[in-house]
Amino acid sequence: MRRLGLLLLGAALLTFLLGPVVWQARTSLQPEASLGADGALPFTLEAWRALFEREDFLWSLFNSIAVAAVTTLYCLTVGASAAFALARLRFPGRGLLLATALAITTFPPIAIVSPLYLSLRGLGLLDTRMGLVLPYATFALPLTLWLLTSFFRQIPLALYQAARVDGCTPFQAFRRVILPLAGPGLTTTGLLVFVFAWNEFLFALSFLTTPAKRTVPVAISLFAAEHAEPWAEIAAASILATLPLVVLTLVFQRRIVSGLTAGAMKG
Amino acid sequence: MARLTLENVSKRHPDGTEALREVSLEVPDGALFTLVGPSGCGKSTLLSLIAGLDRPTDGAVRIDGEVVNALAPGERDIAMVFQSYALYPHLTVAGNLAFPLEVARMPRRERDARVAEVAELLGLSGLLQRRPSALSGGQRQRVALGRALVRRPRLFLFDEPLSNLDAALRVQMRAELKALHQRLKATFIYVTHDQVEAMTLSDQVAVLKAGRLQQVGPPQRIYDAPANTFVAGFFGTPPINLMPPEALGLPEGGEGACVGVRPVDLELVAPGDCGVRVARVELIEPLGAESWVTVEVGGTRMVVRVPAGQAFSVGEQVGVRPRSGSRVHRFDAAGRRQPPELPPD
Repeated sequence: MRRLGLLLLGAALLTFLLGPVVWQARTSLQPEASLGADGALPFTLEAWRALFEREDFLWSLFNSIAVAAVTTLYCLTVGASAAFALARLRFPGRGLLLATALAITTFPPIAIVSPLYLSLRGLGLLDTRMGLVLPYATFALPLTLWLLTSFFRQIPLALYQAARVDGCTPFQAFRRVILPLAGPGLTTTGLLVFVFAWNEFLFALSFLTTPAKRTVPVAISLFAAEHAEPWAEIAAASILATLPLVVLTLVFQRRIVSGLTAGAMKG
Repeated sequence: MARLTLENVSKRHPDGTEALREVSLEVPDGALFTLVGPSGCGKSTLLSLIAGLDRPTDGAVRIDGEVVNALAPGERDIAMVFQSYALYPHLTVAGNLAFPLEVARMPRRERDARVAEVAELLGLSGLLQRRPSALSGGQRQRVALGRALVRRPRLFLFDEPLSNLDAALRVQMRAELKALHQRLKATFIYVTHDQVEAMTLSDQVAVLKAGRLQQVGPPQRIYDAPANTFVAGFFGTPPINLMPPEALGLPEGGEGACVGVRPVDLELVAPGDCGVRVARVELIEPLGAESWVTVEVGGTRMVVRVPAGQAFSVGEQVGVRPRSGSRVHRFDAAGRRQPPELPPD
């Protein structure tokens, strides 16, 4: 009885989560004209063919991957060093720093679009992909800091101390002992940052004007602007835009498992 | 090979608690020196200060005369074995052993030779390619020890290294450690809360309580002449009997004074013998070769070690008295030994 209940709950959850995806996939495989029609559904790859003929869209895929990847790399590099310092080194104002970082994330992005626009223009970064990485990293870094700090704190202090006694400088201890053990934490955090940068819409819409520099969310939203709403193509594009995330998650899934510190300690 | 000196070392934590207060110690070259005390007495803090993992608020830590307060742990030429072993889980046994040498940029050929030598010494040669997670507790302990040995440092620090082993293995490793010390003739500083470990291992023992040094000396001397009631109660199994002098019919030593008599220094005799106190047997703990008998005299309880041949039953009336020629320790109201020094034999 309990098993059945769990099974039903699982099925409901799956339907809720996967339903829209299946619907989008189905939509992308139908001719535009038959959308909304009842009865047997004709099958066509017309929307997918049209999608791959849009050069701007293919560029936007590249842009999104580039912007998200650079943001992730930057956040992990800066974030990991900072989080290690916050987790292990003693200096005044540690708590304040973490609290300030958290406060930054509470700013609503819409409120800072205009000042950011002016700043980026001042820096000459308006309408550049680098101009997106900067605000993305600003918003993603606090999250990175908090997650990685708590991951680093879970690594036993004695391991860091052992490395120090064995002759490591704090940075060597970080690179040779802490970092290799923080793999699952870095992977999880990196994925979250990547997803955030991949999905971001407001800044991408506001700061990029050249069609060839747009990211995927903006590009899809502008499909409709011309004459009719190309629903099938939009559906195909959203499926395609989801794929990199699915692939990334599957690839790194194995690394997210923790328990890497097993055997370091007693027990 | 090194001599360690602590001069008035104090440590206050940022929250104001005082972990150590004016500890001064001299550890001679080649000694096996034990810091012992109950948990929270500051012994591990003291070890961190010696290792350089923490800095004293006041005072100086000297190694071979040189003040090392400002030196990083890696610059002190010391090795440390941690209570939790702290093996690097992402490295194999060989990787763990070689780690300190790699950090020191030792050439590969020499490094491999050193690792092989230490592995041989500790019986780890067959385990070099294993990860720490695939080792037993005793094997992990040996790897931790090997990682310290491989560097040939001038000072070895041990932070309760045996406390995670089961009883049998602990006794075995204890003997091995002592043999290792005799073989290396290096300076060992050993932290433990276990008085038996301190007694059996050490040349010198320093007893700490609440961040203050209570007594320093060879373990036998500390056992024979404890400086105060705390030290008296800490060493010896079962613990010393601390009681008012009247309980044994001894002359009074002034207001609040007490005497300490070890269970081995008491004997049970017939209740009618002359000069004995009449006691009632409350508890008997047989240990095979001997029994620990708890008796009660006029409201005071004391434990007596009796040979296995002597049989008693609970509730029985017996006579209790100090063995002839045995040592009765006297302490003043503040718990200090009176007179402070052991009289010459």
